Amino acid sequence: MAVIGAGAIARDHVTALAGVPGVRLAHVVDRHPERAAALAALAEGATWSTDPATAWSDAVDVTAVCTSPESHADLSVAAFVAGKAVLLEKPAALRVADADRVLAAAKKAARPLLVAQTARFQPVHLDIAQAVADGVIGTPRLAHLTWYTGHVWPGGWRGWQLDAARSGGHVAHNGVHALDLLTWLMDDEPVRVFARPCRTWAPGMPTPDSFQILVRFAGGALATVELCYALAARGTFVRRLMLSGTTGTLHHSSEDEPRAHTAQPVAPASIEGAMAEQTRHLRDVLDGVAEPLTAPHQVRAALAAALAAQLSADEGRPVDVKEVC
Amino acid sequence: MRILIVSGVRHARDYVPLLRTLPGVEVIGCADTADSPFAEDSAALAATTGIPLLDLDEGLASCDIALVCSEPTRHADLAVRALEAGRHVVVDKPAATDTRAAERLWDAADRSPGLLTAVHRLYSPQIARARRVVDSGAIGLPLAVDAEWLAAGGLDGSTVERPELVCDPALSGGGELMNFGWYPALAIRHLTGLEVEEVVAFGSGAPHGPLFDGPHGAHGVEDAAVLSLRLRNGVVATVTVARTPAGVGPAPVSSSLRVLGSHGHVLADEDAPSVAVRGADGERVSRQVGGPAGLTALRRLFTEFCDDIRYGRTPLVTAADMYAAVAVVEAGLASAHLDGTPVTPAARTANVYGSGVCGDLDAVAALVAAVGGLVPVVGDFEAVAAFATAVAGLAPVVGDLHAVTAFAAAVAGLEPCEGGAWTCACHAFPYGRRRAVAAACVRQWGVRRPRRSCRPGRCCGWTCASGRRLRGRHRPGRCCSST
Ligand SMILES: NC(=O)c1ccc[n+]([C@@H]2O[C@H](COP(=O)([O-])OP(=O)(O)OC[C@H]3O[C@@H](n4cnc5c(N)ncnc54)[C@H](O)[C@@H]3O)[C@@H](O)[C@H]2O)c1
Repeated sequence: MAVIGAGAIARDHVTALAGVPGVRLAHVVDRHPERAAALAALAEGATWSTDPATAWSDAVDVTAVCTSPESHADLSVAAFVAGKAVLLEKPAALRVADADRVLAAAKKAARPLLVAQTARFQPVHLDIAQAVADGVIGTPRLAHLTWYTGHVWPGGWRGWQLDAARSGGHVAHNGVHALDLLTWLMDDEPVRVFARPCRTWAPGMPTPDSFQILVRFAGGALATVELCYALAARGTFVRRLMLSGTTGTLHHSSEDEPRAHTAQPVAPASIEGAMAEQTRHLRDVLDGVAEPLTAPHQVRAALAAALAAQLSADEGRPVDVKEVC
Repeated sequence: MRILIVSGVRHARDYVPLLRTLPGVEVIGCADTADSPFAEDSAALAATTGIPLLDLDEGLASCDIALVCSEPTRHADLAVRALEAGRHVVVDKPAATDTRAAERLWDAADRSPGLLTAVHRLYSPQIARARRVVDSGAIGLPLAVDAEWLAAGGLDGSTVERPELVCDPALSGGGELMNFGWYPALAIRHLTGLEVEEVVAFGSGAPHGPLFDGPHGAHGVEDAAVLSLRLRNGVVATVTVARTPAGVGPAPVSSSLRVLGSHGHVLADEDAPSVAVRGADGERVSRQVGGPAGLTALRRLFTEFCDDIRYGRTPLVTAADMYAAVAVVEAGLASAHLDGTPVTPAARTANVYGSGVCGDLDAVAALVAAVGGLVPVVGDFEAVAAFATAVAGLAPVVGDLHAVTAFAAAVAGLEPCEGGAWTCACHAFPYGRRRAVAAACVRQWGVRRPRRSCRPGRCCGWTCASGRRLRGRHRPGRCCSST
């Protein structure tokens, strides 16, 4: 694997790679040489460069695009053109047309695309997805997804996260996790959304730290989503999912799990280990024994919904998803 | 305390046995109006519980508290009647199915000697505890609330007497948002102390289909709704309400909420805490510590209300709270109907003179003339003041039909009656001003002008009333007996 964008998430990928036999880090690219070098130093034999083209060189099977979102589409398309498989960090792109370019390039190259919708790989969500597939609640019709976290980006909010032109906005780049998860679990596509931002820490910040999203799906199903990154204690979690179907209801709350209560909180077991699981899945995809869990139509639907939600939050009105397509 | 069940249509079969367990409380009987569409329900309640079936006026004359348990669309009118009879009143939820009725209820409560409250779950131990935590300052300033309210099934007769009582809008006022939205709306208000300024809702009512396989679709009402609220001071909230095939917890209703604050958060789950019991057969049941929360909340509500009466305290939920909760639900239904268009809930405050704005009666009169095209009685500042009292400040007057209505009622003696037409107090009403009001009615409500000029004692295509407050329903084209 070559990684381009040697930041916080790239480090997580590299850590996970170390635990998954069959894939290894070969090369790191960043526009900052010291970042590329520092990350490459974590894996034996890994090289580094500041030249993007080296991220899809002959010696590489899969390119992991871990840069900030504004370069996701161009870098992935280039990797596909060079015949590589791509692990693409979320959000897949900042415009639906750009996501379409990525999907078309993947199709043309006949190489797999896995979008790092890591929430899918959290143990509880894999289990809930299995339960839905097993038919234990019939057809899912109503979801209530609550993700409350005490999290400030390392380095504060001075990074790309604060700049909507680079991130797509907070509702887009983090809302896509929730919207992707629901798109997958409901096996349906959002058609109308309303998002309401909430600035809890600093009212003057250009991006809200928290927001809620109401969703209507094509088949009529409804969902409420709350995402808050502003729990008072850093590292704390309140995670909850209620999924009600035509014959039953699934419910998980992190409040029901035994947990470590320490000065530096440990993530609940229900969500821990997602990155390693995602990496194992990527390995299986590269080995040709699994299809990417993020199906192309879901990549598009989740991104479109997230961009529509961002527009809704910006303009204070409900938005039809097709408006951003 | 002698309690009269006023109309035994909804929930009375649960309330009566509970009331009988309360010391010092006596259920003296059940009564309904002569024209009640559900007289047989009251009769059945009397038969099964062994309480006498009484004439309504007789019953009201001999009780301390009237407990209104009709179908929701009659809640407000029956409660007003009981208040006007001088009784204390507990009205089942939702206290009213629109803010117009909630306002009548509020007015009646203000005028009457009796105390008014409604059925709510703010005494549920987990909600009360969350309120204590918020009040203590432990979580800092409340910033966000999410409330979930799910009923599991129940339309088979187990928790709802007959499905149409929650599905037929003529009886229920709406679907499950109307039926249940009241609870989370009150809880959010109770925990934050803030007015709701904007409501956005997606619902499963017509033209969308129901999410589940219940009878809601046949009536075009929602079986589920998701709401986003903006409260004062930038606080936000969501509400998720539905009747689902299965609930979250073991109780017929699962209700939980989370309050996020600047310095911490607090969670409430009405099913908690509980003890899990597993039998040798592998069956698992859960026993709620302290008994089912719904029952605990009701028992405490009745007990506290009796004490409110005895000791002259203000009930936990007042007419103003009821109005606010009804306004949130009403705005939610309106927004859902408009597929998520943001809606401002109707607002009304009791004290306008304190606001300073309405001290200037000339300004109010001018504004009313400009907005409603209505010319207030020249020099009749009392009437204008009454108007100002009724509509609570200048801001809600602009473009607000409620305000125009209230003005018309207060100043001109007009009230809208069924179908949006108006009744007029013709003989108390100089011709020129009547024309202005009629013109405003046509503009604001789309109602037709009277066919002929009104003259007292003559039917003019409008209904006439002698007093400022009308009792009962008046229909266009039918003279009421007083003219
Ligand atoms: N899947 C998840 O759970 C998850 C979690 C966090 C972040 N992310 C995603 O990962 C991506 C990166 O986030 P991060 O937190 O690691 O950010 P970061 O700022 O820590 O790292 C980004 C790195 O990319 C480099 N970079 C940016 N543009 C480049 C370019 N064109 N060429 C070469 N290098 C470039 C920067 O120098 C920086 O080192 C984002 O898209 C984010 O949304 C995903």
